[in-house]
Amino acid sequence: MSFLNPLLALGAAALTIPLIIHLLNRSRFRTVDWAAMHLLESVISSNRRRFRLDQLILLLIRCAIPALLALLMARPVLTGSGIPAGDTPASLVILLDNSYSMEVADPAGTRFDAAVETACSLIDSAPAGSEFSVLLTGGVPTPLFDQPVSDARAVNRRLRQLTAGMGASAVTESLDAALSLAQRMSHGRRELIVLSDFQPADWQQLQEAPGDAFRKRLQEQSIPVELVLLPVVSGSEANSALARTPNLSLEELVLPPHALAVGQQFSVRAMLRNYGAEELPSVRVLLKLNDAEIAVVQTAVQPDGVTQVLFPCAIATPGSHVLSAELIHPDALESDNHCSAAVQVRDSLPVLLVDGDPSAEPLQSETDFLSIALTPFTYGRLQLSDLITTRTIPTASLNEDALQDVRVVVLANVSRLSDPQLESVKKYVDGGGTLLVTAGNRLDLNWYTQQLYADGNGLLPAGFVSVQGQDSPGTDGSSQPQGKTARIVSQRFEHPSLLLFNDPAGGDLSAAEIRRWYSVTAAEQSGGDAAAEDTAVDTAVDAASEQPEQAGAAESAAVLARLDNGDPLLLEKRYGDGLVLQFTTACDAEWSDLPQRPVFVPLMQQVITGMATGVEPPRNIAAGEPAVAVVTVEVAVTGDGSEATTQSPDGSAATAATAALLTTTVVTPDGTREAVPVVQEGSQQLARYLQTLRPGLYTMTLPDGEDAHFISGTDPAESALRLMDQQNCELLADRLQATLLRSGQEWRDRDQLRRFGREIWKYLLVGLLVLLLLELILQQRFAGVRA
Amino acid sequence: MTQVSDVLTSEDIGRLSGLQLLARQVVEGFASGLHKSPHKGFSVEFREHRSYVRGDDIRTIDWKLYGKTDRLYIREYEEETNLRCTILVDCSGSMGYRGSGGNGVSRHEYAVRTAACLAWLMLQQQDSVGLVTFDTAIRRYIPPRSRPRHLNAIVEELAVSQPGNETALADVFQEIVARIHRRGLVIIISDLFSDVDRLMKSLAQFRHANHEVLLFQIWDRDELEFPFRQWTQFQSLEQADVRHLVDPAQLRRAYLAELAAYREALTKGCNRQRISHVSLTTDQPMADALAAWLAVRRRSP
Repeated sequence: MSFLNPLLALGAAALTIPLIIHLLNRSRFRTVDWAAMHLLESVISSNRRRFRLDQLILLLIRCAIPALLALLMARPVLTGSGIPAGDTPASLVILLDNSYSMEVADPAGTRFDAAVETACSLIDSAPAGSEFSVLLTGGVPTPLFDQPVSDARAVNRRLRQLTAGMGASAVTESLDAALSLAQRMSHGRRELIVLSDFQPADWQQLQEAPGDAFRKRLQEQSIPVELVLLPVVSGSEANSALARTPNLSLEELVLPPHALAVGQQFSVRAMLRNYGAEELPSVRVLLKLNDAEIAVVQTAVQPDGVTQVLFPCAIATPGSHVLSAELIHPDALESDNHCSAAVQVRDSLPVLLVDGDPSAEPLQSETDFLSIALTPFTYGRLQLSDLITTRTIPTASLNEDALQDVRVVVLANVSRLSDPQLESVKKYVDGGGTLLVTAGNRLDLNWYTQQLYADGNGLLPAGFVSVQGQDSPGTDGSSQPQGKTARIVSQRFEHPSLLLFNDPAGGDLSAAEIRRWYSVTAAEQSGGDAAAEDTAVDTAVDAASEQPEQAGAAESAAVLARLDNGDPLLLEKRYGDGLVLQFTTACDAEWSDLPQRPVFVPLMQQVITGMATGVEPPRNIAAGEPAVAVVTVEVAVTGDGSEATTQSPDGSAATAATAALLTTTVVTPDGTREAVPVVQEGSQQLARYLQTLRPGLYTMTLPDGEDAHFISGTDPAESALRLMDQQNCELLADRLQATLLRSGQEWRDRDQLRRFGREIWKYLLVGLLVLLLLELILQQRFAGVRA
Repeated sequence: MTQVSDVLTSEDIGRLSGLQLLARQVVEGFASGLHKSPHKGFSVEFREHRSYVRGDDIRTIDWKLYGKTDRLYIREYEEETNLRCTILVDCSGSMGYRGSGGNGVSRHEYAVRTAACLAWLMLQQQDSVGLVTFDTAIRRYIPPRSRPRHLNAIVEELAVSQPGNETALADVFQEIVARIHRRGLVIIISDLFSDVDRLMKSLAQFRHANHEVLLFQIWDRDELEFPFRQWTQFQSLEQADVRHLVDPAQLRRAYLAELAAYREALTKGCNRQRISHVSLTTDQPMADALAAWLAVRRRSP
């Protein structure tokens, strides 16, 4: 209970007036010499108690009248809900859904237009002095303002400039973010208003555990926060909210997982999903490469069905390309009728093979099998081009110059490296290089353990311990080798390089017999499966950007593949910006028959290309994730055009200053052009663009003039365009303890009701009139005056 | 010497003179029936002749007229009545009530004037009139006389009487009954503020002694209407230590109910005892009151 005119409540002191009058009356009586005392006495004696009671009742009523009048004029407001009411300013957090499903258009405008209009009307009708935060829920929850804004007109102006078409709504994260925003706002009445089309794809999850968790958070707020769900539909949808809006969506463009070489044939799969109830007999799908149409396919799409369209494709020029598919089919939602993917096409991947056991004999050298496996076309003298080019050098030739421009270095059965060699390899890996270490009979175990593993601080993911398996067949001359052999466990591989072998058509790794291998020190701390590391590879740049944590991350070595006795076969570890893989058996035919099997070629291809591309930031990102490109320009021309600085890790101050002068330009899907500064992170120069909320193509022009393409993708589930029905909305509101409203008008009415309608002066007025009437009646009744 | 004019205003006397003419016939009319004179044939004043009808006393036949007209006429005379009336005037403290409104006449003054009027009226008619003033006991007893000068004695006593003391109507009436030997008319002028049952019992004694009883109950308008509004301390006129501080507005209804019950009890009692009961208020012109009473008296059997 609070008062709008609290001062007038002091008028309640007027209740003393009748009391004073009563006492005055009693004290200022007049005396009458009375004759008919026998009549009076009997009346008084028999009614004394009743008179007292009557007097008391009348007095109470008379006192209540001025008190009630004062209360009435003070305009009390009931605040039963615990939310301060009246014209007290509010803190409103508006969660505005700007996901692409809000772009559904009809003649009255898009859903997003309606949502913005509703938001503006809410802001306009909010109490004076209210502050607003706007959180855009599409893709990644993004606050529109850094600070809560009180200027309603400014908010509205910004709102009207917004467009929808961002990624699918991240509902749970948005609600959490909104709650955090609300906590930082100042007013006592806090409200989260969700303006969305409430797609089941986004919101269904809140009907389960996440909803409960959020409700719990909501209840734990020290200052109550009210959650209002305001479904926004455009005009014609409101009438047929349950009807299905037919929509044909191009869900995904699937590219081959491996790195692509120039001219390499590959197929692109486009996934079409029909959300309508009618069969679409002929839908044309275009495939474009860098906006040039290269293929057209006509297909039929079943109702509620998914159709795959395969496009054979080859790209003739190296560099960053954009493959995009487009549906020629007009429907309600335009934005999901095309889908793109960025493709990085390489002309070559130079690989340096350091042979620790060279031989003049064919296939006797340690790296012969590997070299063939990596460049099969070259060895086969075919016209097809190999992506990988190999160069084999003996151990002694390994130096800093040899490491220049090499994407992958393989240390194959190298006995040991000299200290300068080790230093240059370390520097190479730390600067973003990748290293594959394979075992063999020549390893200097001490050196490997102390220098290369160094208790987890070195390059190796795990230290070699001892040779396992069969004895070497040559040592005792016996024809029957002793000991057991092992095979690769046929498991589901999580690592991107090995995904191919989850498919039986990709080859069977478990067929190979591993005769000898090294057991390794426990590299198990990060878990037996590589799933954790898998995500780490995807977010390579994140890890790279967190340099201070790198020491801790360096400890994590992941096992990519195991032998059937439990020993690891392939291990992986990040080192600096680079990557180190460890192969616990030899890569020639001495220790296993793996190199002699056909599966060796794809295995090594996958591992090496995976290594080469794994350290690069992804080009196909989820909406909201940062688009990061590694800037490889090492010599930058500064303002005066004369000074040149060479990038070096220890000259970081100088390079940071230089890097700051470099900028890249990003063209966003809606055509705006933004400059992104290049920043120095660790030993790399990165161009980082964060505003990738809008799905589509981001073209980053690097300082060397090359274009890097980024495709921001999102969850295609919102293309269903289904709306939650009333019942589900109510269930959701129940689950979240939210208030479900149907329109902005309803919110305004409710707000008005809260601000003015819950005032109880009307009831008090009625009460006052009743009391006045009662007083009159009672007085007449007690006095016995008849009309 | 106190004159009638001391108690009665000239206006009252004027009215009463006219009234007497009117009243005389009336009084005679009923008095002749009510008070049968023990002295028969003593009438002298001729009134009229009427034809003889069988059964008339032949002694009343006017033989002279028979000689002249050869018809039998009966000679009728106007009969003189001889009414003995005792007027009882209550002089207790409660009679001293002087109302808040009206003409400022206290109940006692009104009673005195009424008594004087009645006395004068009756003496004019050659009735004998006596007076008793009383409060808790008889203060003064003036036996009935019919001499005109007797009025002076009565008026003098009335003029000097002052209200005071408590009321004990029942006891006093018993005493008076013992004093009045010859039966006659007893006129009681009082407020009758007393216990109704005891009062009726003592009034019954008058009736048992074959007295005709006429009650003049004098009210003040205040007592009938209870017009008080503000807080009031009611102080008893008879007992100095009895006082009540009340809100009259609250009391009023109960008081009026009590009053009505009291009056009804009184009226019932009077009807049962065949006592004529007339209520007068002090703001009523007393001549009007008398006239009203006389009208009532004429209607009564």
